[in-house]
Amino acid sequence: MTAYTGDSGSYLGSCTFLNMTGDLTVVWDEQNREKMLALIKKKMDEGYSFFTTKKFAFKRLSRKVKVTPKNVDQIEEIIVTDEQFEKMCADMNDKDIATLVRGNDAGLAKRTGKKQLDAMVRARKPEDVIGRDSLAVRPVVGG
Amino acid sequence: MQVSSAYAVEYAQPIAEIADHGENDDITAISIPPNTQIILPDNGILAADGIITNGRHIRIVTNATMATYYSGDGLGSTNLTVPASFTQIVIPWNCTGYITPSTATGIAVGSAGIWYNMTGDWTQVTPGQIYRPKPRRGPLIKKSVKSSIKRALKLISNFGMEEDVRIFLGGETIEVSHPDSLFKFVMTKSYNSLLHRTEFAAYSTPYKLELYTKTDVHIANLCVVMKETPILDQVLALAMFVKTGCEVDILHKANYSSLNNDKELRNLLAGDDSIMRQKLRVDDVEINGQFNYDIGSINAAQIVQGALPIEMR
Repeated sequence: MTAYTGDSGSYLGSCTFLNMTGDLTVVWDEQNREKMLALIKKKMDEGYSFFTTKKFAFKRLSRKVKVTPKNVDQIEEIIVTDEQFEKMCADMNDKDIATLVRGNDAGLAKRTGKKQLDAMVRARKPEDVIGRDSLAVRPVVGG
Repeated sequence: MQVSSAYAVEYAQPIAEIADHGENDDITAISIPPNTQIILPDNGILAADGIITNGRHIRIVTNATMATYYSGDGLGSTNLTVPASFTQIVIPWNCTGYITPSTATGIAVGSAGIWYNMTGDWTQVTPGQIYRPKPRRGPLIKKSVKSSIKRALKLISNFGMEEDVRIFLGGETIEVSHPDSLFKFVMTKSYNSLLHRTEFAAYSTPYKLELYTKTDVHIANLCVVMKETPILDQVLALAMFVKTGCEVDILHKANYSSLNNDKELRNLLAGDDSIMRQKLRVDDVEINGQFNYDIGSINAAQIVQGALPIEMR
């Protein structure tokens, strides 16, 4: 399963979600814009905070690409097994995101670039997130 | 040769005997190789090949042939040749059987203790020489916890905070602030909290969080949590809120304790922010010099009845 084809420039946006097993990055393309907008709005209503930035560099994660001697040099994706994929979905501990990923409406990615904290901007509405790279923080509560 | 009750089957009677202690002196010597561990069960459990005890005898079974080597009534004659090198014999802690060996080398378990004979003289084993096998211990750090910490460190590194986190993990304090803010947030890792607060979500700040002015005046201790987020990710998240100019979200959500006693300072810092005025208790009154109450919550009837003598400030 691959969320989109083509080079990494065809994606629309990405978001890194923090969870108990570490961060997980999902990416989406233009055709899944509405579904992702709905998800982001739902998360914002739940209290999630989104911080956006200019595009990161990252590599896509593909569930299944047959590697042959002919194409091995052309594959630019990180391939994960189905077991790893299911574990990553389970680690997200978020049914909404896992549903989108399983349904191929969003893909998994691994961030490779660096950003300074100062470059991040707090997003106040879903439209600010959809076309950018972002990091999502779970709801903040008093302890 | 090791016998464990977990793998043995209990029989009603012995399979066979080579020698009966009262009738036959044909005793076979058995040499125990170095470092042989013999665990004697305490309830007479029989193993296919192994050692049996039943309170009266110890029988060693090899190839389904059983030989009685010890008798509880002292009539048996046995030879267990113990090599010069150390041989472990593990005796269950509640073993009540006893063995009376001959003058040949061997090991004797008596009601008065355990004895060994390698040179013709019996020597009592001191308590320190007898021990039970130590239970196997699992890994000290779970793989999932290690993985979570590694991922968090990599994520933090992506945002250029690796030096801060290194200091934080070393137990020192780190500060985060925004250029336009009056405040700075000081974070100190609590002792022994990294693994636990990575594996388990909690309802309190996973580290010590203090609010200071930029002139190093302590204002309050804060307690604020990002739900279901490990400790290092929370450090990054807090820094992100502050660096992006969104510290007010943290200040408004946090619970405050150990407030600075200077009410004028608190008033100045809170300004017109009603939530901050509440958090810093700017508008509270002191009653009896000890309690701070919101003036609206004071029970007028209690005041009239004298139940709450007031010293207003």
